[in-house]
Amino acid sequence: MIKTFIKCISFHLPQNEVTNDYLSTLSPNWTSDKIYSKIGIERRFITNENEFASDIAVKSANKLFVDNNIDPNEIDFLIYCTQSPDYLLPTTACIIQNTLGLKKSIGAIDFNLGCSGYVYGLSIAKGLIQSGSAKNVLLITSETYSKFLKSDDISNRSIFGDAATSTLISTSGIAEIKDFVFGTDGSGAKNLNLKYGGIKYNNNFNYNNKNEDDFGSGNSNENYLYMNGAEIFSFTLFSIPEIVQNILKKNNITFNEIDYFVFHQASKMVLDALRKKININEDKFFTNIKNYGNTVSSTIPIALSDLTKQSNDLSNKKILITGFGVGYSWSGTILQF
Amino acid sequence: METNELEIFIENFKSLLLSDENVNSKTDFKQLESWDSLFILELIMMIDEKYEKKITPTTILDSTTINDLFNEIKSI
Repeated sequence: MIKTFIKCISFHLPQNEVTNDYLSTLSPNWTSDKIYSKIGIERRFITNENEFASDIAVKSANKLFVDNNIDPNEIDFLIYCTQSPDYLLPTTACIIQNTLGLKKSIGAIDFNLGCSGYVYGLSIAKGLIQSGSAKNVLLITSETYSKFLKSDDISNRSIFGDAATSTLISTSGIAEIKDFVFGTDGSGAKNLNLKYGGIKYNNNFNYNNKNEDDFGSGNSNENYLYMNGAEIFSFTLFSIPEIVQNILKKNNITFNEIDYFVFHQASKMVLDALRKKININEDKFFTNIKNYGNTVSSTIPIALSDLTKQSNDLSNKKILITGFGVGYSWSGTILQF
Repeated sequence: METNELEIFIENFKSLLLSDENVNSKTDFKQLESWDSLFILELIMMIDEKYEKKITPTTILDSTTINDLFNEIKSI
């Protein structure tokens, strides 16, 4: 069987920094210190009004090419993970192929997943390479949840940040992608969703109406991202520990053999609770949510990129990664550096 | 025995409060100054850690007093 590897990762953050000082102006009940102590995030970055997920996706890919001396002509498949597509159609990956100047002989697909998306993307890339369909797969994750949030939604605005990442997956590289565990439970769909904007409620959708309290829909929240934080937290706390065990079992690796655990950076509370429940040593548990917030499908590649920079030498290290959230959807694997 | 367990639960509950709020078994916990959406998560975590019980957010929201919560935990 052909082995597949992550070759390199780059990421791009939009320029607009959202500080806790700014967020505290949205509600008289919150101070900058309270936001940090409760949420554990110092800053997040969001796109301009006229800057879209595809724009930051392209920037992250160009950075990948320049920083790692990659010839874009080597890319033979583009996988784009987003829940912020430019259009219902065409496929945003096709637009990105053209903007990046990639070959016309490549495959290009979008897929719609959130926090579990990066790991799913790695699995699709691995499948394409192992089947002999592609040799160099460009996986891009890009999300702009900031555009789905009400301007005064301090809870979600304090958690989510926009970002894009690009990963090149190939037959050689820095980390071998091992075996995957997947999971899906659509009964959780109601707990994190954006109801309007798709086809089912197309007639109700009024996203560009700036009069946020009068959409004529009867429930203005349905124009915006809805998250039942307590239900999502509960799902995570009671599901992920078993998923971690399943990832280890699938790869025939023991808990103590893992050098680093890189989880989707959902929120500080989720990460702290999971670390404690799974009994992971702090030294092995990488977190960087403080610096970026929850960037949805981009948290894991940003964390891997930061971990690579911070560690002198990751060679021979085993890293367990797992993504989980909206859907519900989850997935995990081991990266053997 | 039951009373003692309830007292311990009240102590565990008090450890989650931000300030030294006065609470007893009849306290309507959603009226407390510390109560907010994140407090539900603290409660879920505490009950998992100390009692190894999975309480749902809905059960917490449907409860009124600390005694209600205690009885819910006993019934799980």
